[in-house]
Amino acid sequence: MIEARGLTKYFGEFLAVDNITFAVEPGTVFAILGPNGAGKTTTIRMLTSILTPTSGTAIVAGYDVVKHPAQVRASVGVLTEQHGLYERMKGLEYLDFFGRVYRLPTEIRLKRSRELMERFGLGDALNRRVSEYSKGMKQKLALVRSLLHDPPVLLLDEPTSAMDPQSARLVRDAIVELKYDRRTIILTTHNLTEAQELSNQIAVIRRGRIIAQGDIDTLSQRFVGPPLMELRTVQPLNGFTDELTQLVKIREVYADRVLYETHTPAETNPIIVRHLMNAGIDILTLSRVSQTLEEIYLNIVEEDEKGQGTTV
Amino acid sequence: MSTITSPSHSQIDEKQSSYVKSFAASNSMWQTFSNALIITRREVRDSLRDWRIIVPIVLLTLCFPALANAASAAFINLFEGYGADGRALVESFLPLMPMIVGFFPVSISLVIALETFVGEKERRSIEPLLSTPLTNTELYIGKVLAAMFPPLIAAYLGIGVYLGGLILGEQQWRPALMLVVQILVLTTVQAAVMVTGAVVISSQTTSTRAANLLASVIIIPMSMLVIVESLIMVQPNRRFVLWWIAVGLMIVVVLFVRRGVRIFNREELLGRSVDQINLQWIFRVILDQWRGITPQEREAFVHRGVPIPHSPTIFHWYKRSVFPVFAELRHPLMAIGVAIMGMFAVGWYLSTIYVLPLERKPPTTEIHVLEAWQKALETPFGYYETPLEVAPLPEKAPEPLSVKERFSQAIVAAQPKPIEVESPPWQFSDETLLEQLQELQEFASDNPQLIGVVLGQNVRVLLAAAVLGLLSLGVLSTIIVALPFGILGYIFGNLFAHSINPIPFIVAVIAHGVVEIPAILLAGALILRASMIITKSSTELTVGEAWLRAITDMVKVGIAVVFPLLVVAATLEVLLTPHAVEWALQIGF
Repeated sequence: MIEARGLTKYFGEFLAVDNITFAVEPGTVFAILGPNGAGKTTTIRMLTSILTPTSGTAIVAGYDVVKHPAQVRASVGVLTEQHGLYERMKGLEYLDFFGRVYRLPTEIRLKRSRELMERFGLGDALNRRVSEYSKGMKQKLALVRSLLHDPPVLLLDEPTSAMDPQSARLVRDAIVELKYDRRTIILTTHNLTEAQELSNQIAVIRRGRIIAQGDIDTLSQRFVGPPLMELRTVQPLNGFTDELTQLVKIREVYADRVLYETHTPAETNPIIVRHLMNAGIDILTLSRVSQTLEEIYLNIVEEDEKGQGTTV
Repeated sequence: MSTITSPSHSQIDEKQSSYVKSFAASNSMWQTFSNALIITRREVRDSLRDWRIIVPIVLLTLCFPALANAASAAFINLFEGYGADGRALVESFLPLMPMIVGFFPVSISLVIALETFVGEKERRSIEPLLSTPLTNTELYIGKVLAAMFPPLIAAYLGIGVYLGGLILGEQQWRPALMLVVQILVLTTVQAAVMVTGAVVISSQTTSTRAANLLASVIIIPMSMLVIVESLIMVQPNRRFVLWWIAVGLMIVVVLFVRRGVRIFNREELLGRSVDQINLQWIFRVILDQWRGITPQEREAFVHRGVPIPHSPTIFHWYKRSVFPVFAELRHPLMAIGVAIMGMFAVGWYLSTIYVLPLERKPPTTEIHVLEAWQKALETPFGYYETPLEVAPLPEKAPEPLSVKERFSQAIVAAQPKPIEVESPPWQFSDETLLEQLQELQEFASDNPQLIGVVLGQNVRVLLAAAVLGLLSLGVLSTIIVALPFGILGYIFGNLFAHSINPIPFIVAVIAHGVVEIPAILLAGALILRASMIITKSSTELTVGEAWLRAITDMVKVGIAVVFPLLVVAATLEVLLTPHAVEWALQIGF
């Protein structure tokens, strides 16, 4: 549904996006992570046919962003980095204006406006001026605007920034719902927990380049290392750790707790369990330590800074 | 809980597909206009909700015309008190005010336009709009109309209130319908110039503050134009000129729209993010253009590392950097050529109306060239202005003169007055002329620095033309460059009318004109190109870069070609022209 090949954008002599390639299938949330100024917004703008790529191509909803800009923009719902609302208009007026621009018939645009506003908890604010909305309400109104014409592709730039936790949950639920409705969604965010929760695929972009790409497990394996296991026992481990060293790489050892790395947990863990049972040590828990996206992201950036970053 | 997905979305992909495809077909003119009006309606409604726009519009629509009415009546009463013809005053003076009354609200259109274009960029509310399927043209038209409508309606209402006051009030004056139409047309095109100009300005900035500072580029010439229009308006028999001004303004609108449509695109609107002067970039662009490095060559160097070509010698530089500019000057040269020929024809035409009294012996009104040159050598930079003499008022009021007579007298009076000279006055006898030419030749031979005086004068005029041209889209520079040819047309027309042999005059012009005229033509074209570049459509360069490059071209070719030509022309004018004229007279032309 979205396919970018060698997408590059120069502003004068400044290279904003450098030869990026990715594909996003319907029913997928593709998170683009990266520091400010990395090229995320420029990428989104090229996918919306607002900016023309200096080189490379992108197909969005079956249309080339350079050759068919109107069709691309009709197929895409965009939540911009800054909501950019018209503050003197009322909520419903604002949506009605965009509904007209998207050539929606009167009945449909009113129905959709009311339904979406209701869905995002703005039902009472339909006839209030946008200037009276809170930050979070404005963000939600902007999101409603991007969904108004029921687009198959959504490009969401920081969708939950400035929202309270309850509103952010509402929006995240909506994104999940849209994902299951087989929409193609690109999400840029600094909220790594959100990206971890919502996305199927992640790309880390830095200085205009994608320095890492893949699902969380792949990225974790590559940039953080093998899965980390935590073993807790009822009795002290005593000399058992020496035996364990021959099987896995031990990271930390305590009296009744050990953290170890293994590339093949499915094979190694049963062996360790058998050894413990033979040694008469009862197991309290054996679990995988979840590595956060934040950890993965920081490792990716660190490696890139060392000049070792590669595109996955 | 309601759903965020349309019930039909998943099942009926075809519906989505046909909806999207409906945006594929190029819009009809009506569809474009209809889409543009969606923007216009929203913007107008937004403007009308802003008290900072509404209050001045209401004041200018209602209060200002009422005040203008009172002021007009007071002025006419005042002049009538001194015995002026009230009716004539009404005819001359009253039409002036509706034009002014209309201009004030219209000037607000500039503010609205800057707010509409730059304000939206500044608040980033333009990006959601740019993400919609609207075309650049629809966005541009919609916003231009939105900026024009409220002030124009206010202007029409203001004019209506003012005229209503005149018709129903003390003056009981009913303007001719055509006069009202003329004022409305002028008001409308002035609004269009300001709004379309504001779009060009807005492309150069991302903050309303910076745009307001730049707005002086439009508001100052427009205010000056309104003053000129006022001067014309108070002369009922000259009012036809206002139609020509309206036509001229429409041409400016077309040029601005052409540029505006090109500028008002998504790339330009979001690609710019800084207002600061980037001196390093400016310096690099100027240096590139000076060295003849094209934007494409610079881009190839930056993106692909292709080495930048250089010019090892001055001949290479001429070949690489100077001569290619000539290819860009084809149209400006044609325009200047047409202006020169047009001005010559106008001069000739005026000579048939306002005939110089050449059959009479000129008394002491002719300039003595030699004396003027001598004086010029004594002043710094060779600048010398002949002093004006004010004639004493006659004791008895003379008989009223016709316009023709007044103009003829004015022409004579406008001639530079002689410095107190002992030599006999200039006469139309070949002997005297030959003597004077010989004196001139000797003087020139003894004082070769006269070449500097002539050169200085030409350079000064061209520099002034360049500055004025850049401030007036090339209009004033073209007039300055073409004006001498108007004078030549006038002189030759008079010679023709009096059957005076023109050959010595032609020789006088050709002897140095053969070099000077091409130099002036070239300079005029360079200035015109640099002045008009902001209205020219370019797909590669920003307005700023195109302007910088054109100005650099103007300076470069000015120094490399025009200046040397002017040096040669000045040398010929001082050393050859007197000989050539003498030769022409001696062989009996």
